[in-house]
Amino acid sequence: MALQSSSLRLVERLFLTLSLVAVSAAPIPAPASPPPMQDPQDIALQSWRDHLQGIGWPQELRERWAPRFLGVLRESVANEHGGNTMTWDGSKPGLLSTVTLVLDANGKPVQRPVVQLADVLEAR
Amino acid sequence: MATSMHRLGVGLAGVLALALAPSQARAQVNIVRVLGAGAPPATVAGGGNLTAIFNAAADWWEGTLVTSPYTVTITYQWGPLSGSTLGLHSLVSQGGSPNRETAGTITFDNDGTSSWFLDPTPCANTEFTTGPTLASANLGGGLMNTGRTYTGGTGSASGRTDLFSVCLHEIGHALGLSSANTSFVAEAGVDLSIDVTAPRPFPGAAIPTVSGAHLNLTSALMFPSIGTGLRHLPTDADALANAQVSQMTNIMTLTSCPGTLGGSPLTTTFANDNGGSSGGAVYFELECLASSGLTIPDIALNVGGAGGAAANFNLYLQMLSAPNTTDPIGFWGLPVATGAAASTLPAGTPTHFSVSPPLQLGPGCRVGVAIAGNFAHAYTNGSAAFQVYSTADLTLAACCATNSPFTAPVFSPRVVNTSISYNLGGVCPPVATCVAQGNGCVKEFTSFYEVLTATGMDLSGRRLSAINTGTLAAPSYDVTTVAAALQPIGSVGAAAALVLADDQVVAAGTLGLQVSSNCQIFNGPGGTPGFVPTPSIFLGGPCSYTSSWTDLNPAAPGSGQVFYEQNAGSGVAQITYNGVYGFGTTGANTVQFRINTVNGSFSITWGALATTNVRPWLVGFSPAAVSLDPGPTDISATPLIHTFAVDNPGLGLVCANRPAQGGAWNVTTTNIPANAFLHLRVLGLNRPGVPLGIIGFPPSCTQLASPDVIDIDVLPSPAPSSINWTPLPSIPAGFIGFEVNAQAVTLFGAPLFNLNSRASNGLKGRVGAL
Repeated sequence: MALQSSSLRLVERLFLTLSLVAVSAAPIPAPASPPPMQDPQDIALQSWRDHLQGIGWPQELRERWAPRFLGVLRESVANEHGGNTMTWDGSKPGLLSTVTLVLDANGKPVQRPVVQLADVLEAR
Repeated sequence: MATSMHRLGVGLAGVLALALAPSQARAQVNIVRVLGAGAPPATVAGGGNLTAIFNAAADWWEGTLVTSPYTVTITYQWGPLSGSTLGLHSLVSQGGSPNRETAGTITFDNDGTSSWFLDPTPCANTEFTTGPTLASANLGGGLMNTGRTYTGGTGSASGRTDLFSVCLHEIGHALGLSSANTSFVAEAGVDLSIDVTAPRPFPGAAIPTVSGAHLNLTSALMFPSIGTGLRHLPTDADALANAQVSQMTNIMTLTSCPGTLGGSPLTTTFANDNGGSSGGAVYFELECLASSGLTIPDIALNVGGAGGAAANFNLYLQMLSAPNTTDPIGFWGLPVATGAAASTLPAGTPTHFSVSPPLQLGPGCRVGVAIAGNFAHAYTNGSAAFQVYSTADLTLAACCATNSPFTAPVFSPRVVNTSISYNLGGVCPPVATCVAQGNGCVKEFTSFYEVLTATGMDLSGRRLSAINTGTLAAPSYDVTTVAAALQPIGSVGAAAALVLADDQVVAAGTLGLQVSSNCQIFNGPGGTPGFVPTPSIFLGGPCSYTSSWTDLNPAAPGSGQVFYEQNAGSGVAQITYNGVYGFGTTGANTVQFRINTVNGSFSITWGALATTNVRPWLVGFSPAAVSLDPGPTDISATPLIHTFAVDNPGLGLVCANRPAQGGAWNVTTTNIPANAFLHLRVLGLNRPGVPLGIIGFPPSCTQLASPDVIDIDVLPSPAPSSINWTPLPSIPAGFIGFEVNAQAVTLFGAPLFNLNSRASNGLKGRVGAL
């Protein structure tokens, strides 16, 4: 039993040594420049296009109507991903039209955009 | 589980619908209902539940929209909705041609901010004290219903939002009015207006939209907000907006939940065994039994052929004061409505036509209806005149058909194959009427006849003698009947039994006569040995009919024979039906004809007759060529029947149009004798009915208009055969219901009133709006 333990320890040292050699022999990369941050509104607009395509809208209509549904940036609040959660709102009385993006520090969506397009009845 | 339970219910309902109400089989909108997640909030009251209320709302919409089969799946659920939002509809998928929503989700707010009334009996409306309050507007296609509202909610309905109304509203989105529906965007996305087109009713209407896919009509169901303590039901505008967006063919605006009407639609049959020519017409009567009246927006008909083409019809009315008085070749005027179908279905299958404007009938209103289309009607031979079909609200009496509208020959009885869908609520159409009354004089006919049932046949043991006082080519008869026995067979010449199959005609002897198995003698070829004695055939030539026409079968085993004998020298023939069985029976009938082919005189003698014959008798004479119908004459009760060499319909007065307000009432005097020198236009408020024989007219002339206004035309020689005149040249508004009688009179020679004077039938005009 003792002999076996010593043998294992010897193998581990050898593996560690080889690993360090390998690491030291590898080329050192130059520091990467951050990718250009995409305009969140463009992402939101594209989300609308994708949603409309998903419910059967032809391209011509998608291009024409997505900006109308997008509306304006209503809210942008910091989130736990180091970025912002942003909501664009094109709603009108009787129409719910919103898209919400959850972005990380680099402005990338960390989850699928949430698009809401619905007809609503309001209390008078 | 909820879904499968519901589908089971639909299945059972479908079976019942097929068995009990044929029109329910016209698959329209099928709303598949899926109960989603979520629980009702604590703010509900009333005792109802979402599933029952949602089902009632979905059923309502299914009964409202008329289309080819279309299915949409809706998931409905409770869920939190922000702010003052009560309900939300979102489109999940769409497709097909025309493009429609195929799946959607509806959510009702359960975040506690909305107070709901869950009606345990949503079809009863008993929690509301006022209503339905109707609103209407002319949006360009005529006055349209735009509001159907109950208010004054009591109990749990007071101060709460009616979930039934919200269900109806949200389902309305799923059927077309959706911001995510590309059909809606194409229709209203630019001009915010839904433009109604045919074949839907109210074509030309522009229904305004607002706030996405809502209607800018404050009383409409599809307005974007709703108050508390009230209930909105679908209106014409709501239904029509969806029908237009989703390209549905018609709407059925229900005034109560489906199944609570008295049996709409009224359906006769679609088992056609006959049909008319393209462009022909069918005729029937309708009587409204519903105390609220009713409105007919959809009539399904049986269209002959393989289907597939667009079709349309004109609908004409005669206002009737008594049942079974529709006159197919009488005056019908202009159509009061049209019907349109985008595509017909094969014969035997109902083709739905949207009726524009929808035909209204008030309580007790009775109308004759003629439908003349650009297609061939398929219909069913009737078994009796004016066969009746009824629901609790509406009665239909079938009449007849013609191959050309309002033109003889009339085929009767014929049962229109139809399914008439109606809503409750309506008034009698303000149709102006022009109705003929009484007879003109002096009518003269070349034919005479009587139709007698087998049990009502009263000529057994009698002889009808017709003595020709005219020529052989243009006979004129004096007809009498006396008690008499048959002459012996063989008393004219050598008798031979004719070989006659059922419903067959054979040429017999050398005198040009043809003998029918059905107790008819023709003076040449072309006679119809049909088994249904029919006056129009009898009067239609092309040979003369000497008839005791009924359905016999001398070829039946055991039946007596038909014997023919003649004397070529005198031109006399005798034909004896000697104990011939009625078709399908062993009842024996003995009838003997003796015809003088030289002078045209004839006699018919009846021996023993069966009372079991399946068809009536048609007894009489009609010369070759088409003859005017003199109407039946009771032969045994009339001492002397006189026929004439030429038909003369008497002085006539016919309607050229209806006396509608804002226009003129025009009529035409017809058949004016060439020797007349005065033509009197008589207009009166009353119809005296006084025999004019007392002042010198022929005895058959009657005064049918009081002489309140008389205009006189001095006629040239010879007189024109017809004169158009205008009893009412300009009818102002406000005279609807005003009645006036018109009659024409022609005079000849001196004294002023003599046996050459003529008086026409009367016309009663009743001023209306249409």
